[in-house]
Amino acid sequence: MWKWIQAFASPQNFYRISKKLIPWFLYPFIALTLVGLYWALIKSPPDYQQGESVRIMYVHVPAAWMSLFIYVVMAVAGAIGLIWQIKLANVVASVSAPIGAAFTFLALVTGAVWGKPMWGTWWVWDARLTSELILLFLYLAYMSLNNAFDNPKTAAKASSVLAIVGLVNIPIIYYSVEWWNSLHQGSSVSVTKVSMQIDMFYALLLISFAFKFLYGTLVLMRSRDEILVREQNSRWVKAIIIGDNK
Amino acid sequence: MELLSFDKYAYYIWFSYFLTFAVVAILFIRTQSIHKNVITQLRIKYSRGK
Amino acid sequence: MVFVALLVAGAILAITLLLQALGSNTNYFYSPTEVAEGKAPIGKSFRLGGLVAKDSVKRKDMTVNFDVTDNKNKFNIEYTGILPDLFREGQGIITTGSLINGTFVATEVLAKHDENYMPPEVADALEKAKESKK
Repeated sequence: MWKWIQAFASPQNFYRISKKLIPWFLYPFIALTLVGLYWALIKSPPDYQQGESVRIMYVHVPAAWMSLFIYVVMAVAGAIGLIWQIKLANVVASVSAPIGAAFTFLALVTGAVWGKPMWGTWWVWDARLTSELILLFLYLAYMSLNNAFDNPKTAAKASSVLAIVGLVNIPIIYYSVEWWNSLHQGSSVSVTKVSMQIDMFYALLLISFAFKFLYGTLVLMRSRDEILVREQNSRWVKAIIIGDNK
Repeated sequence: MELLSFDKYAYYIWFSYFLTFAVVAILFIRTQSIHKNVITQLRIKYSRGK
Repeated sequence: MVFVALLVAGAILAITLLLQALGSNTNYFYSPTEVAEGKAPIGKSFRLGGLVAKDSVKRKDMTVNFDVTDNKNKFNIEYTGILPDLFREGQGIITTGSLINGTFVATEVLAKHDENYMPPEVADALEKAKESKK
């Protein structure tokens, strides 16, 4: 079993398999985006209080979910790389960071654009908004730390530790609206309840799945190139590059 | 088109969706440029090594 | 290796400071009851959050007068300026200002909405159902 995992997670094997996997993420992403946009912009109704502006939710909330999800993936992959020395895990962690940062940025900016007409302000320093901003800084710190070392092993060690320590921010973001009084409202969607109309919920769900597949596509594509760089001294990489006509 | 006019919040809504589109596009473009860079760099490295 | 150790130490320090900061003053606003109990810094500017009391909004030119309540205590608010779109009776709001002779003179009013989203027709139906139960 252990041997099998290691063989599967070997960079060369991953490089071969991942190429076949990309379409299985890319095409669902495109399909879900198209259907999701239809639901978000046309099929779903306006809100009784917020009117049409509620449509910003269908990009804001999925982006915010992705910012948390990718961080957890990154920290867990970093931990796996740290403990079991699996190269592939380090690759996944390091290519995830810029994607996670992009989603965090998107969540913050769409949140500001939604907050202005509804709350009356672009930004407040309440617990939810502040902790999400700290998440962006964590991603940026991870990226710069990862780039600060020439040796990828040292870089992976240092940045993984940072990612794991920063994990403490994730429950703070999630529960900030319950633990403290904040301007940001509570969660509309949790395991036990959904407090929105069904078409609104479908729009939210479709776009958040689209984002999940988008993340999958990008991680596969970027990991492949990261592997080529890290394994550039091995024979199989040389064979691929010299034989590569693309 | 009345369907997508979104009354007084139109600017806020369209800004959010166009920004999302831009971020996704940049992620793909950046991925592609990394790919091209890696291939070029490695080709140079191997052709020197010969 | 020394660098990594320093880095870990730095990260832990940053997180500890963060948690401490969050623990001491993370509540964005005080409720009317908390203010009545003397928990808010009276005399200084602070934030008060609650619901706009029914039938309490009085407008005079650009100045608005209304009560903010948490169904236990309430305070009278005086505000001159532009209100957010969501401002209405029954709406949750957060206002910044200070208590002057029992009136909360506000410099900013922000709307706080809840996590429920529904189409207007559904909201109307719910409202009617509530009315008929009374």
